Amino acid sequence: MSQPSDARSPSRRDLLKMIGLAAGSTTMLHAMSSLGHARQSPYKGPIDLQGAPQGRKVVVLGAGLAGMCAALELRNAGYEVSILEYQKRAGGRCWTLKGGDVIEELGGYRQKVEFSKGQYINIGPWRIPHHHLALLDYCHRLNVPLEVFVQENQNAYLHSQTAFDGKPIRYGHAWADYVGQITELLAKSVNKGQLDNALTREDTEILLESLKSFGILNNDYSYEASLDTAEYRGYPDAGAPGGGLYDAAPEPSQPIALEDLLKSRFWEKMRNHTTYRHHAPMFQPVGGMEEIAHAFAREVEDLITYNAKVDRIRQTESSVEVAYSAADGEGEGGVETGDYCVCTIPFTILSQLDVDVSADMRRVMRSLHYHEAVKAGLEMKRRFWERDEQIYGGITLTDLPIAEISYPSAEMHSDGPGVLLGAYVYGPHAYAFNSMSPEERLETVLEQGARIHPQYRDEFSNGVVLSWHRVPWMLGCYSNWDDRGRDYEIAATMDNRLVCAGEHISYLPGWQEGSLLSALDAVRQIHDRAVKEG
Amino acid sequence: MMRFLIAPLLLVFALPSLAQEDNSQVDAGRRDLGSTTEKFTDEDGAELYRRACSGCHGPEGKGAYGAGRYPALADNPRLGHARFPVNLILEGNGAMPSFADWLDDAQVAAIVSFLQTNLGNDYDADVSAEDVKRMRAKFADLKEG
Repeated sequence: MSQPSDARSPSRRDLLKMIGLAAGSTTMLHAMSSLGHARQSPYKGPIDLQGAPQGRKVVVLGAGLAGMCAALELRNAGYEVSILEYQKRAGGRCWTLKGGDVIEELGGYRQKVEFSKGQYINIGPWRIPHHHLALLDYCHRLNVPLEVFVQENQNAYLHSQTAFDGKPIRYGHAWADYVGQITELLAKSVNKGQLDNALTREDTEILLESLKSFGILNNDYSYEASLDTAEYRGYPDAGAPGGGLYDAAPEPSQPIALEDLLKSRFWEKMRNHTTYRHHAPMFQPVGGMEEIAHAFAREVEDLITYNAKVDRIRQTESSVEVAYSAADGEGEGGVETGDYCVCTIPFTILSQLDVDVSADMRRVMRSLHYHEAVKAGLEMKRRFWERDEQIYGGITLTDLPIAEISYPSAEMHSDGPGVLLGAYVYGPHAYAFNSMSPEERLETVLEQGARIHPQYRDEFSNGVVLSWHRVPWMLGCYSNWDDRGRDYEIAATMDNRLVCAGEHISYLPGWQEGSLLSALDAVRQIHDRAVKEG
Repeated sequence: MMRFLIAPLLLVFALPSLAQEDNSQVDAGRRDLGSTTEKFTDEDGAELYRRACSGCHGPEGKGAYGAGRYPALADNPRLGHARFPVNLILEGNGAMPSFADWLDDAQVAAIVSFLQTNLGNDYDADVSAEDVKRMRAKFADLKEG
């Protein structure tokens, strides 16, 4: 039996726990805010839409996360809803490639994914920050199990073509040695009294103490090979702590010289994992990101018309009329009419359609451009990064065009194959990849990756390289606002009876959280209008 | 023009049926890819077209069609005057992103000249790097409003 803790008054945590148990997580969220634990997200729990007028219909364009989220909430609120989707699948960019999948590209190329059973690559979004509360809440509500996504791994590599003879360096070595040595420089200059004007004597002493502790400096404020620094950067290959009699005593490891670290430019990448959106822990759905799309589709699949290519959107004073045709040219099109429309079609495509919107909206649709991106999934017969190099999850960063190699966070330490994210390419390099055939893309990715992991050539089994500009329903990867300003407000505001939603209508471009928060705001705008119009 | 043939390298892969004419013979594995993370590095118009443009508009400039389209540049009467393609390359429009930061004036001129005199287009190549420089400033002014 658990004993009630005698006379003490309940702590804030106890109180929250009681509220949470009694009233569910939403109430707890509100309670946390009022108790001074407001979290860094505009998401305030499930949307509550009361008083929807009878018989109002909303046409939703696009069955990605934004469209399905809007449809789910609008139907729950009492609206009639229908969804038109270009593809023959739901999910949009929430897309996981598995064995047997076929990618049809613009320009005619076709890639068949040959991954083994159970293997996959998240070719769109692939990680979920712990502060993306809307997405996490929908995962919870729709029963999508999550697991940890390893973002930062001290044992993964930093790699430069021109530094250290092109050999990869363990992230943790570079990090500890860089921090240690810049700390040393600062400590020595402080100790010489060069900062006396800026700090009091007492603060200077604390600063020195802190630099010594943070940088792992010795009593002379030097960062050097020692068992103390090895505790942080690691040990030499033949000098790690052991047991028993032989080779048991640890030995110090030799730090990398500061000059070499500076020239390597590794410091450019050392804040990569500490951006707010990449703070640990991050998550991924068990079995692939598309599990989220499947979960939404389970709720709204009956509303979706697949293979529907939107050709024209007409708006009158009282209705929206959407004409569509069969995307694959086989089968019939039609016209879907509603009182309102949630349009999640990316602006790359919407700006080309015959759409009744204001001149301002049309201008904004044309001026918002999308990022390029190329991602590769490489199945390896053996998880050599784990067995040979003790890299479990995480990301290697390189100045090669492939930019990164990410090691799978699922099925760690298993005997089977594994799929690496073999490239995540941006900028001009991505257009160079975009111009290649799938075979050339793959060969280029393998050639580059093998510079870091020579096992590539022996262990490679099959792979897929997707260029988002060749995706027929996207024509790009995700929105690239320079300066949101007034244009963003125009894009996000209901235009007559149509309201846009998706990652492009958010301050979280390329993140699913942005799609959902935007969809919830679109739903709110429609509901407010519908209630007003009665 | 084509520096290396990659056929020997590609033989190791089973080639699926490719509907697209395959003349984009990139020297597979060449690590600079005619680009850095900041810039395209080629100078020749045909090479720049292949790297930067052909992935969407097609090696023969025939365009591509999906939910939206990448317009054909082959036999395109709008390429008669350089201002139109220069504007699109620098400022973008809809699915066409801006390449202003990644191409210098001479590279833009080289691409536009290539377009005007290739892919079934037979116009005078009427643009210089100087012209592009002038237009770049003007378009930027217009955008500033």
